[in-house]
Amino acid sequence: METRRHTSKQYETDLQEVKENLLYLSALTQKAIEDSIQALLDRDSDLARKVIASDALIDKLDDEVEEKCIRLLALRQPAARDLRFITTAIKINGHLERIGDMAVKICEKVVLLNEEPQLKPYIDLPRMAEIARSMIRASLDALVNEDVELANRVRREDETVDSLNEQIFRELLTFMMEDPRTIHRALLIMQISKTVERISDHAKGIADMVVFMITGKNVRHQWPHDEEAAPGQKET
Amino acid sequence: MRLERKMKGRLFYKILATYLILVILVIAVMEFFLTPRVRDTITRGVMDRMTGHARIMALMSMDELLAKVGELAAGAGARITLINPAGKVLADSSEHDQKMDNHLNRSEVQEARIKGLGTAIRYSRTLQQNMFYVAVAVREKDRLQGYVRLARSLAEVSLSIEYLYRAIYLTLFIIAIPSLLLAFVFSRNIVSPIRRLTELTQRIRAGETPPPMLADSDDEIGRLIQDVNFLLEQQQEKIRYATAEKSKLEAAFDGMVEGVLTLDGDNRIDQFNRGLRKMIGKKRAEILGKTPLEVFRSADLQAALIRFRETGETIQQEITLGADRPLILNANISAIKGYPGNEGKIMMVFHDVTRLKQLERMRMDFIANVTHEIRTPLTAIIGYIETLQQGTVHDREQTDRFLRTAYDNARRLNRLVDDLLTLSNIETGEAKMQFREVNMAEVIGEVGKTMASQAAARQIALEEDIPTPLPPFYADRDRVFQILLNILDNAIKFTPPGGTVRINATGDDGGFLVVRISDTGIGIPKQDLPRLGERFYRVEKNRSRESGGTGLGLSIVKHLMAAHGGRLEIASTPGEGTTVSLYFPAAGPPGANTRP
Repeated sequence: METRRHTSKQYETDLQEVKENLLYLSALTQKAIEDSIQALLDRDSDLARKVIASDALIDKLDDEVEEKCIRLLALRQPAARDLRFITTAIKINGHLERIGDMAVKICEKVVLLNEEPQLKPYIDLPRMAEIARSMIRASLDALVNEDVELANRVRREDETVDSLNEQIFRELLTFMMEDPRTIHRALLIMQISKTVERISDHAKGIADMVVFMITGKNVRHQWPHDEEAAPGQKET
Repeated sequence: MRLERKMKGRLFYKILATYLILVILVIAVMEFFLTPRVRDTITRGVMDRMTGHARIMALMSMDELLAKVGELAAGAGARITLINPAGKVLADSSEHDQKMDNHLNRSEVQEARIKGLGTAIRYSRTLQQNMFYVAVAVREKDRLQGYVRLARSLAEVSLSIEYLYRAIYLTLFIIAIPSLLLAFVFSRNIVSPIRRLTELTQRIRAGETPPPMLADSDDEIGRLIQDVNFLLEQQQEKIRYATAEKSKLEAAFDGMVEGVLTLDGDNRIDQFNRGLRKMIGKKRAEILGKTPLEVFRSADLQAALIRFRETGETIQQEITLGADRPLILNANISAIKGYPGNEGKIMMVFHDVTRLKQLERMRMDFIANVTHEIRTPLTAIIGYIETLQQGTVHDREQTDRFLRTAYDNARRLNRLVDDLLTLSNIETGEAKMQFREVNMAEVIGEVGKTMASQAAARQIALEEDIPTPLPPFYADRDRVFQILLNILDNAIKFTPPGGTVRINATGDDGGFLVVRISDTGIGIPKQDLPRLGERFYRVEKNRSRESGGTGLGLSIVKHLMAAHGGRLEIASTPGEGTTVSLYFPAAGPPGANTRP
């Protein structure tokens, strides 16, 4: 996108601003995820409440990006790559906003969990959250650098998170079967785990849109490993 | 090359044309001013001579004239006509007299009849060309005898003028050849230095620094060359100066430990130093021309930047980059003011405060931990003693139990204070170390025996794998015992029943005697590994205290290993187990052999 030049400087600036806002939004959501997991690990309800409060900024930015994109569509009537970029931006914006909401959801559960003693040390959950967070970052990297390869890597990463989620699920199930008193806490942790898994789904959604933006191919309803099997799509 | 030929050609032709125009001008001037005069002069000369001849002939008598008309005509170079007073032609040097008509009406004859001498220029029908006539009256004792008339063609005059001009044109032609040559040489002498000068200036324009040109003459061109040389030198001097200044600044800029960058009006990074590049570990192309958000991806930094743009006040913001090994930076955002050409620019300075933050956290944790560790047993002691004081407990057995608990807690407190003291002594170097030759196999055996009952109680298999003989090494035997005991104690504590703890020693691993203690315990998460040696640091807040530790064990081990000149390495996989490797230098710590 760097090399692209438009006759209108203002148009150029507007597009750049949308990109910057998306990056800001992604940085904010990543921080929200990090903080929510930190709040879980440290049993820090104050931090959790801070994350919940900070969602307002994410929502505000989300509105701004959407408005800017719609205005660009109406005023500039972009074509080809610009059109794809703007529609992609609208979609990514939506995903990021949902991710922000999910961080809030996690924090709400953390506050509830902190009212009871810790059930078990968290090992897989922070790992999972870190993968989900890095997926968001990588998908935005792919957007900025127009890197299809990276976007596809993000899309495959989703499966790792899915399997971690299942693992946590099974583990918590044994806890609940052993001691019914843990059910409430285990369910909360399960919900957190499920939410993290949903975050990674959204990150994959962003990566899908990035692939669409660069190649013009809609891959949203394809599995990444299906493509690998296809000829000419070999991994290096 | 083409330019050179064109230049030479142009100037050459200009000079040549000048010469040619000069020649043509000379000819034109001659044609317009000289020719009529020359023609006049020659004509008049011919006329004067003929008039003279005529006057001389008039002195002769008619008869004499008639007799010698042929000789006279040859002598004078003219045609002679003798006419009687009535106008009848008596004789003619070129024609038969009877054929000629009466000549009295001829203007020269008429003039001679009145004045005695008459001249005329007229077209002769007889000879069909312009002729000059002169007639003189021949008198004898005042009586008119007749007229003698001389005639000569003026074509002769034209011919002599033609001769004259031919000579002049020849001369001019002869002059033109050397003048062409001269023009060539002249133009070459001027063009050549100018051409070299042009080449020089072209190279300067292209950004090169050509060597100065040799000025081989003192004329205008020579002075021009000298001036160009001077300007060239001056320019190079300025460039050298500017480059030196710039490199000085850059050296200072790059030499800074702090990361520095500047943002242009479009929020893009237009300058940064090596410190920044090293700090965030990115390539040049990944920073230059990007926005801070693209480079740092930090929501906190972006928020600070937005705040700065709103308020214009210098802002300090702590940002954390990276997740695995977090980098904590203190960012300082300020405007660049008072430097022309830098309006609207923003400067960001980053200090790496990761280590500082770590230390700060360690200190805070330490104080919190010490307080907590001391308070827990104290609360218990105070609680039980208060209960006993109130005298409500009369049961002997219960009193005993209360006292024992109080005593246990007091002992724990004592242990804690002992550990803290030990740690403090090792740290300050006050602890006296007794370095002697130590048999590691023996020490391991003793430690194993000490821990055997504890391991058995937790149904943990204790395995020793010691090759014999292990090389002896220098160490403080009691301290080594303490180190091994601490590590083994931890391994047993954090291994679930049914697990295995294995002690393994290697004699010589690059000058080190290595003891490895591995367990099949719960393991330690990756992010906790770097902090394990910190005082009171616990992987999980309650895990060590529940198992009765003071939270100082590993810290003491770490410091004791350092006192031995060795080191401690911990590798762990959560859920699979931990391996602690102790590296003792085989020769003991530096200078240990000389100690008592």
